[in-house]
Amino acid sequence: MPTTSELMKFAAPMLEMAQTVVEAKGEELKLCYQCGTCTSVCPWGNLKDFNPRKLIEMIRLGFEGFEDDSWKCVNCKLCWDKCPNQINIPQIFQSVRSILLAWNACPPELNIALTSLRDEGNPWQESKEKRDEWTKDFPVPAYEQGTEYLLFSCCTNDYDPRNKKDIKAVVEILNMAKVNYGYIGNKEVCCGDIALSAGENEGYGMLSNKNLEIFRELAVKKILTISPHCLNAFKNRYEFNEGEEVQSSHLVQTYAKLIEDKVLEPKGEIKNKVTYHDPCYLGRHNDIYDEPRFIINSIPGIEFVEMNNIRENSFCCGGGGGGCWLETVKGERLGDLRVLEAVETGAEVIITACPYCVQMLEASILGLGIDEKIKVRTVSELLLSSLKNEEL
Amino acid sequence: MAASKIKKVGVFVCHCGVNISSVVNIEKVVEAVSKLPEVTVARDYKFMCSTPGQELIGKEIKEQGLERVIVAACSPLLHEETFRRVLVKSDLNQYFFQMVNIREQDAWVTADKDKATQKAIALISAAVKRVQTHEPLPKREVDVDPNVLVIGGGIAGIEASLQIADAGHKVYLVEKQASVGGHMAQFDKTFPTLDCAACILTPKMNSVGFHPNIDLMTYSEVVDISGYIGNFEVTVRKNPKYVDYEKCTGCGVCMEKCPSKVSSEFDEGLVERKAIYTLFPQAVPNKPVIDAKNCTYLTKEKCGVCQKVCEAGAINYEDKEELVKVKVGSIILATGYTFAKPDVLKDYGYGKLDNVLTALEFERLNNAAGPTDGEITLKDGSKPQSVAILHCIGSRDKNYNEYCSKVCCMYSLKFAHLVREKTGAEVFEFYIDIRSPGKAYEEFYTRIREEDVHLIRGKVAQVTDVPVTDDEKGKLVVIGENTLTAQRVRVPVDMVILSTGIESNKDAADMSRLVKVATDKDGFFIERHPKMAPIETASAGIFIAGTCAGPRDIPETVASAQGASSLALKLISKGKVEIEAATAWIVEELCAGCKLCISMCPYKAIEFDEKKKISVINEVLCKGCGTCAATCPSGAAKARHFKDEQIFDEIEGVLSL
Ligand SMILES: Cc1cc2nc3c(=O)[nH]c(=O)nc-3n(C[C@H](O)[C@H](O)[C@H](O)COP(=O)(O)OP(=O)(O)OC[C@H]3O[C@@H](n4cnc5c(N)ncnc54)[C@H](O)[C@@H]3O)c2cc1C
Ligand code: SF4
Ligand code: SF4
Ligand code: SF4
Ligand code: SF4
Repeated sequence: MPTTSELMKFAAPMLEMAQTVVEAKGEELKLCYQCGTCTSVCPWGNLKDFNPRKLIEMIRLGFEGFEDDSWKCVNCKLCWDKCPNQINIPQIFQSVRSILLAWNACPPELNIALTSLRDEGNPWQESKEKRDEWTKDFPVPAYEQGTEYLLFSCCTNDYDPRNKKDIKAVVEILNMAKVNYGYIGNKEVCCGDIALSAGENEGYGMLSNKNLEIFRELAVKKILTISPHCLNAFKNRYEFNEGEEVQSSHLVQTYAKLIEDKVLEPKGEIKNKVTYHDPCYLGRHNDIYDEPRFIINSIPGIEFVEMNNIRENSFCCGGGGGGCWLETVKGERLGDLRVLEAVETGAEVIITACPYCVQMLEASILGLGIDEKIKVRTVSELLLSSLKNEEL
Repeated sequence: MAASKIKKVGVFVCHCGVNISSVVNIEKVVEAVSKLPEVTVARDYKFMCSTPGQELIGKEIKEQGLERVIVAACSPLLHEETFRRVLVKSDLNQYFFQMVNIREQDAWVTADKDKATQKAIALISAAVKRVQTHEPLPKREVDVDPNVLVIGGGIAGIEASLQIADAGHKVYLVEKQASVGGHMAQFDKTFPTLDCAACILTPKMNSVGFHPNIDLMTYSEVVDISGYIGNFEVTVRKNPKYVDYEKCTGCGVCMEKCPSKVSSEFDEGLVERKAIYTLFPQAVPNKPVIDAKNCTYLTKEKCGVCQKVCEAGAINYEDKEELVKVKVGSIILATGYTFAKPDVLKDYGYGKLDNVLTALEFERLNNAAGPTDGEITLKDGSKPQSVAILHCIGSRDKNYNEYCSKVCCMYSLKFAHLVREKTGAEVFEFYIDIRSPGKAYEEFYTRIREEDVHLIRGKVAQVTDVPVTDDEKGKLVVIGENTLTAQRVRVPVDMVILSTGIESNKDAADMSRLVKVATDKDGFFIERHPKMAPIETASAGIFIAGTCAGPRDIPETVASAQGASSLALKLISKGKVEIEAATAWIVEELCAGCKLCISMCPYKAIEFDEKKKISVINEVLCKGCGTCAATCPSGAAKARHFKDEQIFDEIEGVLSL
């Protein structure tokens, strides 16, 4: 027979827990006045009961039950932009994650990616020696001191078979435009952006230090990124020393300039109806919205349609914040929502500019069984097709 | 430093309840200070500013024959006056006093108790040295001009003007627009009593228009103010109205016939008005002005219809702006607010979707004299079946205005009532917190709940017209979270009202420069003390009334207006005002005539003597701010009571420990 006190259920505040989160850079959670704006805009709310407002309140008072959901946030930044208290909500989840990681309480598949990052410098459990394998039959200029741009390739482009196609397109375009750039091959390690969002502070520190060391050794001044996550890491996260003026930019910015200056002239007609998916880290995190649209609109013959949620209000593919390394059950994939939104515009191709978006959106297309209806291409692939007058 | 001559200094240390004594060890301070050779007596007391505290000081002055008095307590801003009066009562010159701030500048900002105690001793020692060279300065008084200037003719300005005029004094009321009335004239009903705005406002507007003691200048602006408390000289620019009010009978034929139409500001753009217009039918004065930008005659010299139809011959296309100078003893600022239209409105479909209204647009829609004669209708003329009211739009939001706008909770509840009463529509009211502190306000909130208004706790994130269900087709869909059930909600409605807030006027910075009253980070005028002097300002003789000092509702606005008028009347009834004796002067032999001080003096108190080729300070205008003394490269400009030797003595006192 239980005692009455065993039957009675109450939540008790665990202020120590709350304090730990605050100390792990989560202090902004104190400002929340529980308005619910974040919950209303969070894309997860469309698919499942995920409530950032409620989680913040639970964390604030140390009420148990926030742990599992804290891994869900994909760092899309919609909530942060709309929060009337300007609370960096993804950072709060990042703080919680760093604590859970220290307690070894993280989803197992995430652990695999994080271990690979520490051991091999990439999340895909591939050997660090094999990063530049794709260049064996596809020569890419090597970066030497004095080269104008360092082309930072991104692990996903170096290892993932699908995204290797994209980086090859990048190389072809840069060569056509005679851009002075170079690749550092196996010296590169993951930028660490997503590791940090996943709460892996130590791993991030190690990775960023390695890259910084190489940038310094080669006196790098300008970095050209293909993945918006690398861009974000270099622009908003890396701690460059004072006086180290390293400019980072994304490829779409380079392309837009080259087209404007008539160095690149996309003349081949692309007779497709396309839409554009804003990667969160290119758009909301780094304010790049116009260039990709300018590039798409410069392609002759193309029909460009927009989805409902675009630019500042764009929906996430589900890959950010470590989402790309987590298993998600069917029916709970943010990518599905995005792909269906694209299908509803009547587009046959989703153009995007991030290797993770490519992976997540393609996985959703396969999962939904609609690969006959719609496909995913990058801005580089689109541009190259027009330049070479080939089909997309 | 010269050896101290004055040996009879009294030091009085205040505990300020526990404000000071909980950090500063008063006993130690008194003990240390007593040992200074100049100090005859050192005493402490719980509240030095209280009557027993003041009596204690008075008694010691008499008994010990004190020559100088130091009080170590709070900021001089608060109680310097109080203690100076004690000296005057005890037949000592008030400038033989020095106040040491050991509260704001010590106890409140120093965590370490030993250091705080040391600091108090150092600051008092500095004062002990400083008072050695204090000189008796004569009391200076000037006459107060009994006329008053009121800037702004909203309910605040109207109320203040009437109080003063009824007391028998002359008021110049300057209003920028073509009529008095301000925002209140735009409303129909007012919370919490729901009495009609026109019924309580129009009689007051008329009184202002016809009061023999009020010189009402509409369509006018203040362009310059010089002088000081009791004696301001003000320049008012009367903008051209193009209508001769002496001749105009207010018949209104001109407005009827004018062919040029523009959107009506007073009706929040919901309807049009003519180029020759009165702000609204009950305007005071009820005579039109020509809006020069939109008049075809004034822009293209075509038309001229109004002149042709006016039987009184009142239209004058040649009208020019006129500058008028008036003299007044005090000024009441009542310039009100601007209704906020933050960028965030576009997230709620404002400007893009039909039937998404701002609060002020709804006020006009609901007004019996408004574009729909008070019917609450949708754009197509039909009655709404459901209405959503969204609180805190652009307020309590760091991206826009961080502060709470104070009146919107209550006016939103008022809207809910009006919609229920007039249309029977379902009302969904989304709020973060309901703020209803005020007399009969909570009861009003209860009444709204009894009227079946559906309150949902959560801020709305978005309004869209993209449906996801059949019920949503053709509707406005309001998306938010019901935070109390932790559910995301989509509510399809016919009309959305956005409750945005009160913002300071766009030209607040210009006004601030003109009247020399600072504004806070949000552009509202700053009071002399937030609790103890909420109507006075740092500029003597200038008072603030109504919403130009921050968000307020009508009861609070009227109360502050009555407060401002009573302060102005106090000045008038006293007839004289004491002005700063610690003025500056220029040592003739040292002045190089560079005129730097003239350009720097904020009170325009310095003139150039062309014969002697030197600068001369007008003692009446000088406020003793010391700017000139700090600016003068030759050291010719000197400030009384802040002489170099006094400052050096003070520094030496601090360092003597
Ligand atoms: C939508 C809405 C509904 C409201 N409903 C209620 C209610 O039901 N009950 C209630 O108690 N309160 C209500 N309020 C609050 C109410 O509007 C204010 O408390 C009140 O109007 C403030 O009056 P005021 O005289 O300070 O300002 P205003 O009404 O703004 O008047 C200021 C006047 O000064 C003039 N002016 C401005 N600058 C100058 C210048 N430089 N020179 C000369 N003149 C100038 C303006 O033209 C204006 O006539 C509501 C507010 C809003 C926004
Ligand atoms: S960052 Fe995106 S996924 Fe994370 S809580 Fe905010 S809205 Fe949701
Ligand atoms: S939007 Fe900001 S203030 Fe509102 S509930 Fe979310 S975190 Fe809290
Ligand atoms: S009064 Fe109410 S609606 Fe207005 S800002 Fe304050 S809490 Fe929000
Ligand atoms: S002290 Fe100097 S600057 Fe200040 S008001 Fe007097 S004359 Fe002007």
